[in-house]
Amino acid sequence: LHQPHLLFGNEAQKQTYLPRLATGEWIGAWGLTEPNTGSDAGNMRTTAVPDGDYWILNGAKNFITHGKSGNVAVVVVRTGEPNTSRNASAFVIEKGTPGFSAGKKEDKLGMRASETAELIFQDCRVHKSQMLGEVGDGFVQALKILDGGRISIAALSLGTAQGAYEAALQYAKERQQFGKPISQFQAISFKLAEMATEIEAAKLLTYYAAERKDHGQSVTTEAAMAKYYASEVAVKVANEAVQVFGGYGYIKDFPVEKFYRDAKLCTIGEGTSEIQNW
Amino acid sequence: MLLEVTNNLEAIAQTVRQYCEKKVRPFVRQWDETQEFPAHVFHELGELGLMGVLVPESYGGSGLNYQEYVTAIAELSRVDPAIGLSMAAHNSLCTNHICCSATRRRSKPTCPGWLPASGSGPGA
Repeated sequence: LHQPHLLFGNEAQKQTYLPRLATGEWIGAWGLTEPNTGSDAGNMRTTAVPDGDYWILNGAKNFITHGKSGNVAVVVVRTGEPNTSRNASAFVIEKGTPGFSAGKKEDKLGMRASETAELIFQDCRVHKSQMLGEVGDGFVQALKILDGGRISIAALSLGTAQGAYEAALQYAKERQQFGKPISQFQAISFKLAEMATEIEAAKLLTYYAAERKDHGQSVTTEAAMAKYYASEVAVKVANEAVQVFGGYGYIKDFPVEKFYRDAKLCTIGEGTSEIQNW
Repeated sequence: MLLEVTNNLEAIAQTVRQYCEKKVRPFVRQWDETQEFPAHVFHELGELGLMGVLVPESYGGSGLNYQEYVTAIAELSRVDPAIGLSMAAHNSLCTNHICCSATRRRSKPTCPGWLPASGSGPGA
């Protein structure tokens, strides 16, 4: 497994895919979650079975961002017995590979411009050169990827909270009641101050995790904390933003009802708040 | 001081802001209502270097660090979280997996995600 041609193959994978993905010519998808295994990924049902120089994939992945529009997908599938160690491997699979197709596109509460769909594998033959790393590396790789991924969801949460807060602040300064802007009433100004403070705290946790990552330090705990906290802040701030807008917060002519719907994904995607605290 | 707000973070924020005001904000409600995935946005984000944020320049990426990446995602998400989510998933998951998987056993990692504990990220 440590033969040089495999490492060379990996360099070839990078040469083939990275320039296309990095320039936005291609859009990428990534699949770990399955209908019956979310965070309990050791028990995945999608399998790859060796067949000469090929692997045969069968099963389905769901809640996959860019599942339909993605030009290429990285998927982590089971290559060993269920619930054994090192039982998963990762493959990079191009759209159009026979046996590889997209399933239903989900109709979502929020994040609706971000496509979410199923990936389906039916006797999909994939050459061994499409494996990323080595047999059994998949789960370890996935955990590392998700550590970094949680920083990005923390950043997503931070931006979502900022967008909702800025809209609420602007509205509170413009909206006049009893002869003055509602931002000058303590019920609103205290709310805005609390929102701003919590956003600042989320920002610190998120940049702290990012800074550690930049220095090559472990971020397993810090990224989970940043993701957990920032996502809860996003939901809370979006909720308060709707409240500041009052009736106008409940209609689509103003931006905060969308932040409210979008924010909820942050406490769910890439590990729920509950699993971050596990 | 945990945060060093570098000129580069501000430059990234401004670039993303300018793009979003012109190419994202006017369409946020439409994309939300029709649930259409605006693929062209991601091709354009690629031209801005935001689809391979963490990818080394030798592979066509921007070779930026995680703090810069956080700034880019947060600025996109301020205007449309759905666009921020798709950009983040493309970069952090698919692209990063391909970027990092081949470097794990190399003596000199080329991707910040797999740096040894004593290393320092490019641009850090």
